[in-house]
Formats: sequence, structure tokens, C-alpha cells
Amino acid sequence: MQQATDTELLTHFNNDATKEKAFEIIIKKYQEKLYWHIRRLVIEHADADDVIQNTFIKAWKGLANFRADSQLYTWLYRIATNESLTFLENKKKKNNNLSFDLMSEQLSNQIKASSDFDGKKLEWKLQLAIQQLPEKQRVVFNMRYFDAMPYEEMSTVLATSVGALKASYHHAAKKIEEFILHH
Amino acid sequence: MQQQTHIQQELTIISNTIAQIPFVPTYTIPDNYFTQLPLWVMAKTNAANYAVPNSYFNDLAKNIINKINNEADELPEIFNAISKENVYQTPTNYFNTLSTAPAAPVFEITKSKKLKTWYYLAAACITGIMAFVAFQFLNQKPATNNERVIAGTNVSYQQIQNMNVDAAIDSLSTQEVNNYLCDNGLIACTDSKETEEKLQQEMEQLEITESDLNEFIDASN
Repeated sequence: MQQATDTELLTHFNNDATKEKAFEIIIKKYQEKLYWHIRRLVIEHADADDVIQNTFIKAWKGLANFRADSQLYTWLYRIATNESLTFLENKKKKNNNLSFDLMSEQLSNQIKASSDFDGKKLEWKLQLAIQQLPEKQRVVFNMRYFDAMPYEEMSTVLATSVGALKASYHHAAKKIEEFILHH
Repeated sequence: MQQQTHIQQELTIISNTIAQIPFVPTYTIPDNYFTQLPLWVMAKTNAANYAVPNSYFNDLAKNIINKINNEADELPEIFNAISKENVYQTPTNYFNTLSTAPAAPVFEITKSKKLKTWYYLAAACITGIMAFVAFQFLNQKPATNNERVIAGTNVSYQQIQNMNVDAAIDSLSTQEVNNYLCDNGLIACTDSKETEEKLQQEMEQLEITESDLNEFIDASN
């Protein structure tokens, strides 16, 4: 079962005898990609840990109704993205409806508080620059830049047209460039 | 961790600055995190099944009732060490005499009755004063025009009405009229005889006859 395809894993999941084993393999297969996708959005490990666990629990509850007309991978990404954005939204509400700027500042401060943070290094500047982007652009940039996700798959995950995603990625890259050049 | 070539090429076209940033991981995670994660998630998914022990619901009501009863009777352990002996005392034979003790005297509220009398007296006085003032006020007769006195004089309107003015004026001599007019500043106070003689001399000097004078007065009117 370890080498099974997604379709095979789904078949095993629908069998009570192999359900848990199949789901454990699904977790192991996608946990790292999903974790990093979530981590880049919520920044802190503890938050990412909560979000990824919720993501898999939701997947467990919904997998029986999952229709194989889309890939399991994009479906999981969709849950992870929604869970991350919901988490950030709840965080804003808990902090008296933080404005976008204050939320960006808070995420940037979390990055700066990382033990390995080095403000002179470009890779850290890039992380700070990403936090200045609007949520949607941030998600698009992360999925394309870090996960190398094809626009067609992103279109399924984010329910947005390929053209709009390309434009969003372009705008995001330009804003990041401007931030890096001026900081 | 390597960035795919086509992503790198795409980025070079959009922003060469970003394309040159080293593609290295920045965030760290605890050791063995990805080994533990499936176990944590699976533990939670099992919990999410909300399984209950066998015959849980058969005994649930009984268990709750037992718990309520036990909690109601249970007291903290410290109460076991405390004696239940009464610490308060009563006078000797208090309970023997309690049933035969005289009834408590009934107090008359005399003070309040006295107070009431004073209130009635005061109210009667105030009412009397108010009635007297009102009577005086209502029976006050306004002065008639005849009884009124002309301001600045002691002469009333009644006296003026009764007066025969023409007869009174006729009875006055020319001298008295001149004196009155002179006293009130209406004419120059000179001796009327002298004035008359002087006027006569001036008329003679100017050769004005009495007929000329009458003609002048008629023309002036």
C-alpha cells in the first residue's frame, strides 16, 4: 500500500478494514508539502501544526464524499489553504479586527522573532516582503514560487482563472522586488 | 530544496532581483516532526469518531443520579474532625420557663396620637388665617372716581363737580385774576395800573385810536 497511487489509496480508504492505514499513508505522502504551504502563510510552527492537523481531520471527515474528478493533492491543498486563511481571519478577530497593515506587521514581527532570522540575507528579506502582500497574492506567490504548482492546478485550488492567477503572480513579484530594493 | 527551472526562468522575466535570491529554507521545524505528525493526526481522527464504551447509555442515568447523591452527602474531610456539640448557651431553665413566660406587653402608640392632635391644631390655625385673608381681600371696595383725589392737590373730583366755575370766576376781581396769572408765571408780574397807563401813553404817542385798535384785532382774527 505504501507505493499506491491516490486512486488506490482512496479505494482502500473506503474499505473499513484498510481505512486507517490508507489515511496514514495519505498523511505521510502530503504532510510536508501541506505543512510548508501552511507554515508560509501562518508563519509560526505551533500555528502551522494546529492548522495542518485540522486540515487532515477535515480531510478524514470529507474523504468519503471526495469525488475523484479532481486530484487528491489539489483537494488537500484547497482544505489547507482555506484552513490557513480561516486561522488568520480568526487571529485578526481575536486581536480586535486588526487592519491589513497591522496584521502584516504582526506576521513580519513573528518572522523577525525566529531564532535563525538574519535581516541581511535576501531569503529572509523575501519572507518579510511576502508578508506585505494581500492574502490572495501571498497564496498565489507561495504556491507558484515555492511549490512550483502549475497555474491549472492553482486554478482548481483557488477557484480562480489561470489569467487572473498569472496577473496576480506578476503583481506579487513586482511588489516583492520593490520591497527588497527599498529595504 | 531546489527551485524548478521553469519557475526560475519565468521569474527572471518578471523580476531578476527575486530570481537571484537563493532558494534555501528559512523556517525550521522540531526534530522528527513529520514522523510524529501522522500519529497525532490519526489519534485525533480516532477521537473524532466519538466512540463510546459498550452499554455506556444504559448506565448513564444511573451513574449521574449516584454522582448527584454522593456529591450532596459528601463534605470536605475536615468536617469529620469537628465536633457537632453546640457552642452557644442559654440561661438556666430557659426552655422550661419559655412556655409560661408572660406575653410581651402591647405598646400603645400614644406618642403618635399626641402628634396627630398637634397636626390638626396647626392645620386649623393655618386654615383660619387663610380664610380671614381671603375674606378681607374679597370684601375690599374699590375707590370711586368721586372719592379719588387729584394728584398733588387736596381737591377731590366730587368737589370739582359740585363747583360753579363761572360764578366763581365772575366773583373774582381783575386784580385777583392778574395776581393768579402773575403767581403762575403766565404773565409778567407788573402793576396792572402802571401797565394800562403806559400802554395808553404809547398809543397816544403813536396816534392809534381805539377804533384803529379794534380794526387791527378784527383783521388779525
